[in-house]
Amino acid sequence: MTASEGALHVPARARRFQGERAGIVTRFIAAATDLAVVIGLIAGLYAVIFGVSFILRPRHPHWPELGWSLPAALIIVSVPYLALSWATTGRTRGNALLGTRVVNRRGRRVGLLLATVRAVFCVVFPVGLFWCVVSSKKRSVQDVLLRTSVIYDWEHGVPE
Amino acid sequence: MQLQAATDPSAPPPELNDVTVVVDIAADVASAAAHSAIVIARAGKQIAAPFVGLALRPPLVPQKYWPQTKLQAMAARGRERSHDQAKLLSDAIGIVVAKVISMIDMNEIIAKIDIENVIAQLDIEAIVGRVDIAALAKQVIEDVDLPEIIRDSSDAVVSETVAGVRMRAVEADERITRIVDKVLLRKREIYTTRTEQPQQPQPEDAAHDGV
Repeated sequence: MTASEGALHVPARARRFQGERAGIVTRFIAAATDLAVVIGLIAGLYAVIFGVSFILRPRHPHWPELGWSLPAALIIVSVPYLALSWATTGRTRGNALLGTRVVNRRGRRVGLLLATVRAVFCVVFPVGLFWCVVSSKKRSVQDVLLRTSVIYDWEHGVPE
Repeated sequence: MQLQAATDPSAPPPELNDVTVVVDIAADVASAAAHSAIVIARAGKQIAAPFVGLALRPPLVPQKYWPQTKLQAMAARGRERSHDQAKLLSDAIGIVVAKVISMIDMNEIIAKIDIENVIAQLDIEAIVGRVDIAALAKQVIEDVDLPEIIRDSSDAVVSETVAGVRMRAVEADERITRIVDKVLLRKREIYTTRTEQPQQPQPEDAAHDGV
């Protein structure tokens, strides 16, 4: 997908920064959106567990304890969500909302392995995102370590 | 009826001097003869098939000299000629019709018609009464596809909203970048949302080069 094709769908005022690295505000809102999505998925997962438990033991349904299971559920849900999103379309739901895309050092879609490692990094060390505020190239810690970038890309199509 | 007598076994046998009995006998004989002819024809076809095949496709003769080939060519020519004749006839009819139409003076015909009289004789109310307005309105509403129009409008509104959110975020990104650059005494050549200077075209992968 070329830049000229994408420009057909992008407003004129937004074309000049397509392909540039995204800043902290955009990325933070995208990350917050993804967090909301993950929380929704975890809530759905817990509801399913509770529903199954209620069907099996209607008198004593089991509700998963939030204390120990929440971090595990966060990792179990968010890592595949982030990795598959980046490896398939280059965008999570948050990226799609804010018009950004994760690319590798060649500007192409990241592979599944790289996407998985990046997802683990982002989940384990989310504060690394704020490094893009002081980074001259607007890169988070994860981007610096894995040589990835988050760019503005308002094009709706699936990136190559 | 003789037919009933023939099909009803309890009916008394007809008199042989009756004319209709003679006709029935003739019909029976004709039917038997036709049946025999069909049987003989089928048998003959089976017997003659190898000879006919041999005559149409004689061995040791090149295919282009086969009688069958010649007959097929004749059939093809016949088909072609009949098609040409049909086209010729169609063209001729078209020319004749066009000529007839050109000879008719429509203005003169219309001038002779008393439109006012025709309108006066029309019972408009009866015509309108026959029209099912409700069904017509329902059909029009179904054809308009209102939900699709509403969906398109909603999509446009959502796209506008998303574009607005994205633009605000980009502007905020730039504001923060400028502040940080000032604090760190860093100079950046191009801010993505700066409008004071004309935009410089950049290569597609400008953001991806280098680490």
